[in-house]
Amino acid sequence: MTITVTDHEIRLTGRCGVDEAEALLAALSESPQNRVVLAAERIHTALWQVLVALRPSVLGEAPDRFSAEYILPLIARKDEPVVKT
Amino acid sequence: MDDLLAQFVIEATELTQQAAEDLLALDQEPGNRAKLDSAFRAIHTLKGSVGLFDLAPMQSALHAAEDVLGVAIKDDAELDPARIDPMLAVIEWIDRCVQQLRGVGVLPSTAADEGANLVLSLASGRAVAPLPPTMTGGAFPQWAARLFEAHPPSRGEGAIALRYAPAPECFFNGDDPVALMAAVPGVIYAQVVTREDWPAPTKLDPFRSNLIFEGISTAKRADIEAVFRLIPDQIAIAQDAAPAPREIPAESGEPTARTIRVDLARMDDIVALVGELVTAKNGMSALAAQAEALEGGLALSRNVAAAQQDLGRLINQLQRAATDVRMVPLGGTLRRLARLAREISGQTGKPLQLDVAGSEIEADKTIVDGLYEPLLHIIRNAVDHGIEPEDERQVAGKPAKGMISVSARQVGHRIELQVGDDGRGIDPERIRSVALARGMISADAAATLAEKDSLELLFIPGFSTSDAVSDLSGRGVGMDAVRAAVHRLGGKVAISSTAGKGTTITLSLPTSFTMSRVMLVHIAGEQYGVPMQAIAETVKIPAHAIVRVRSGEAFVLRDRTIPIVRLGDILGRAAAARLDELVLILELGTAVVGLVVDGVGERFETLLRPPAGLLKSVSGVLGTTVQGDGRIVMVLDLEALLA
Repeated sequence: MTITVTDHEIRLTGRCGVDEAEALLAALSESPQNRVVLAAERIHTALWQVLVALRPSVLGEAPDRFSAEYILPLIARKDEPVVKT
Repeated sequence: MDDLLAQFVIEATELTQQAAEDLLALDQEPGNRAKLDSAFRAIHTLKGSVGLFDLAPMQSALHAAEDVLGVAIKDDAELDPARIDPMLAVIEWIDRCVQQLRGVGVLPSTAADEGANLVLSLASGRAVAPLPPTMTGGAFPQWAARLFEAHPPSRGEGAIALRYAPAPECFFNGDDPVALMAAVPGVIYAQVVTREDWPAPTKLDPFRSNLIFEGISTAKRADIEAVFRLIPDQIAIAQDAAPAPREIPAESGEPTARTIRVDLARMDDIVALVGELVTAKNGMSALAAQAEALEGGLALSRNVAAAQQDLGRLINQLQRAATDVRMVPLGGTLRRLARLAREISGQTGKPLQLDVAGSEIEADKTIVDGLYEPLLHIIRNAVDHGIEPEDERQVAGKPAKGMISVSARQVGHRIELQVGDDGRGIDPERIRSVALARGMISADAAATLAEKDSLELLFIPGFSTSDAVSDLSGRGVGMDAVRAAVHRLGGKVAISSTAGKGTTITLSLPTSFTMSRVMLVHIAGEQYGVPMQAIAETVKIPAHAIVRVRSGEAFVLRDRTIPIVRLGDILGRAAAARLDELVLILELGTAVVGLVVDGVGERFETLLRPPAGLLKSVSGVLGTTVQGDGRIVMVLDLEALLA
């Protein structure tokens, strides 16, 4: 399993493939206050989408520069425009 | 710009021009059938070329236009004048799209809507409102303009804007859009937006892609395109032309200044004239002989001969130059195959790898152009019948990707093109049983037919072993069409196959039409030319070695029985009985035939002219050539005569 759910957090490790998206959605829907810890080598777009749509609090690092710079801000934003200049 | 796209832009401009002229003529004279046909052809050809690229909006508009004309042609009716305006609007729009493609390389984002409107207007017979200003003047797509506004590139950076809108179901195709974006080199700015607003968590479908990526990169366009090569329909790329506005005209202007498009008919006239020049030069031999016969004419004769030699050298150079003009690299045709393979791979779901070698080899333009059609059929056949589905390949221990290799090489004056696949090969037994079931061969023949000859059955018109008619090759175009097309180009086709390992089809073609080696043969006091390429050898055999076999004759040469045909019989001039017979051993396709002639004469290289005038309707004549003494020699089309 690349998604580990504990009392307070949902941890992403290893290579998170598209098929894990449903598990992540279920875990977050069940306990929306849980924070998500990013410690994966790869995170499929489907999982990023779940994070962007549900916007939990996120810790840890994105696996590549593109997601770090352009996807993470989408999750963190609180009704602020995303456009970076 | 991609070579292929560049060529398309030139062709498309001519075709839209043609279509517009024809439509305008139809407006004046609605019953003009020739103009209707011509407009249909132009639009049809254009549609075909558009299909090579991912230009769906253009394709559907052209398709609708073609339908309107097609119906008029089919019903033999006049084109409804109310349709002409919407048709012209389509052509004008296509023309603008083409100019846009030349400038920016992609269609504007509004193209899909515009195309759909035009299709509607064609159906309703009303022209649409004028096009929005984005289409005119080759402006940027709006999204790209917005991006550059949000993040102005520094001067001279030559930045590229890209917009990647993954299809909602793309996850099921194995796409990972974020990973793809992470792989794009040189991204200096990006933004990610959603296609639709996010639904409530309970309604969220985690397997539906809802993100759209836009960005600016400073990498080379080709490197960016390489990342998205498998999903060209989901990506739009626009180059920032602003930093160097003068570069574009310079780039596109220079090559056109160095090349000129010439009607092939004019080139053929020149080549034909060179042929006549050769004949005129050969006539000087007689002149030299006459001079020699004169009292004290030896010196004059020598001078004439020397002048003839000089002339000969110049004519040879001229001939080479004229032939060279028509020579183009095979690459033009071979490159189109790569796109074709990708398209077929998509349609069949069989992953394919196409390897092409020998693109640089040159041949006459007519031959290079004419090769596309047979190669297309061969590749379609290979994918349809040869390459196994992925799971079957894995069981057989083959790589998942089906491999098709197209390699060209020059062999003397000919080019040899081999198309090989690593599929399941052809089962001769199956071929035989199908031929038997279709009544193409008798049960006796089926039982004794050699493996090699079984494969020959594939070339019989109408032969197809496909149980189900497929989208691709199941359209009644089989190997017979391939052979016919290659034969028209003066070439031969051979097929070989190993069960389980694959099939190889070999095409052997002349590099140019213009020069042919011909051998003179004598028959009943007349001379005919026989193309040297068909003659394997010449043998003299005792007349009694020829034995009657049923209705024909044959003799044995090195343990091989060769059927005999007497040229005199074919031409209606049967020869008297002789002690010895002179036999030309001809190789026609994979068949070997002995041709009995009275005698053989000189061999020469000649410019073979296609039969014209009365001779055109005579079958069995490949062309004519003029001899030094002015006599015209007919060169025989042996395959037609012996068929």
